[in-house]
Amino acid sequence: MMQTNLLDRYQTGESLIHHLDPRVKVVVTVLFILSNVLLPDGAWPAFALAWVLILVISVLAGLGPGYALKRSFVALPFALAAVTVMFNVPGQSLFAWQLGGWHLVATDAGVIRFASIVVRTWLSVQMAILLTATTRFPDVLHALQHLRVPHLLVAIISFMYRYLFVITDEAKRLMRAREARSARSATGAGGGSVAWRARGTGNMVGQLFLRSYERSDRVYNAMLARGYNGQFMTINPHVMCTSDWVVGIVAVAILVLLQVVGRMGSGW
Amino acid sequence: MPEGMQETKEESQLASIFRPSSFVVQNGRDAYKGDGVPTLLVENLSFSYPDGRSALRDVSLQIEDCEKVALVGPNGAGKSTLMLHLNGILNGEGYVEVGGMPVTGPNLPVIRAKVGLVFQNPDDQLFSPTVFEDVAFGPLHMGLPKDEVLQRVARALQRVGMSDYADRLSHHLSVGEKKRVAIATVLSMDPEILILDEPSAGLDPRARRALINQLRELPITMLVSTHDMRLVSELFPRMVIMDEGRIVADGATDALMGDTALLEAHGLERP
Repeated sequence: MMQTNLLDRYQTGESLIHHLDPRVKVVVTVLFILSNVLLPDGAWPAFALAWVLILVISVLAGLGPGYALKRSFVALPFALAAVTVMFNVPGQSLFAWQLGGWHLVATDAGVIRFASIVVRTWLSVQMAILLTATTRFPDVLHALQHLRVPHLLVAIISFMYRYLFVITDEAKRLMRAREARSARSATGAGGGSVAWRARGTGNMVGQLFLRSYERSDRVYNAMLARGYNGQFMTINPHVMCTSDWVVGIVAVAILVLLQVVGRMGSGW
Repeated sequence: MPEGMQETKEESQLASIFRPSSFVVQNGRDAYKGDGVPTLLVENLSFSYPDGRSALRDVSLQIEDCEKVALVGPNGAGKSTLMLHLNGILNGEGYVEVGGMPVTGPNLPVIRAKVGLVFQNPDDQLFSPTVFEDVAFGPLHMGLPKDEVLQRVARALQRVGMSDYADRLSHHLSVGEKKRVAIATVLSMDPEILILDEPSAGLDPRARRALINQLRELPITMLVSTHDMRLVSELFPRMVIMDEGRIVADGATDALMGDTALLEAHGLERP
């Protein structure tokens, strides 16, 4: 029944990166993303350096240099939402469009900002991909717990992770059942109107919701049956050792260096 | 139905509070072995869902130490509803006692450790990301120290032959493996009685055989609801038949299995 392996990004490995404490990896990933956001527009050397850092980590993790790159393009369409900044940052005009009643002028500063936003997104997504490729998801959850993220939030993410697969399978079964009955007579065109089909799809979504809702009740009963009283308790065996601290400190130092490089040209 | 179940969970059970726990002895039942206290005692239990549907009618049942009892009957007979009463998730009218302790509000945390209830669908039972976390859930919520929790998890997994699976992700397991881990999740609480809902449903013959062997070896009181009549005659000396919310027969499996008329009247078949 399990056909959703594509959601599991973890790549088994024994590298230094795999064995790092998940807290270090989570914190460094978050700081890396923060650092990208803080870098000024057009800080190309710093962006390039950040990418080198990603390449080094992928190679250290035994994933090969292209691993994160290949998977990062999924997120690029979302960066296109920032396309409007091309036109509303003041600066030298580069080219102009007449779009209906709008006169759009792209400025040089606008284009630089847009390119920077795309690069920031792209770098951040790659680091997140590396995190999930080298850390099992339950370990990421443990890390969040150790880092004092509220229990309820961690529990919600944990349930989401656990039942994502169950509900995907359920949706697939529903869809298969629909396909099995989507017959068409030998003579006529099958189908029905678009509205009719849409209603069928709506019913399926409703079914899925109801099933999930009823399941939540059964899961809650299963939790009660094992003594759940509103307080989540977990054990997680992670212990920070010296190498974890060293890697963490080195990573933070590199991020500080990135910031310095990024701001040198722009006079802070 | 889900909303209704939520409500009844919260309701206090006045009916059972007013029964003294010595009720059992006064009632003249004295055929207990061991310490003289039945592992499970249900007296005149009735329950209706809030929509008025009557699910249990005047159910009485007594299970002694180390008895293995099968609970059979057609779908909708009330088997699962009865099981949800045995650890106080549902509260009907009547009296339920586990190991001499009434199933009432203040006792619930202890009762839930005494009653190992395993639900039919292992995807409902296994709600944590990893096998280890699921098996540790019960002991952790019992407030046991960390070392003890680790020991219990190791022991429970070993008893169902899943020791190597502690770090595995639950959604990567096969149905048979999930069922075994589901049993481990309650064995880790060291329950006095193991209550299983349809343990062999959805298993292929090999996984079913492995499960039967496992159940046979567990030295623990058991109440198992099932449609698998071969499982019943193989594993359970005693059989309880439910239909339409009532217990319609309770006795030795061999005798009841011989009564074809009785079985047919309640939609059952001989193995």
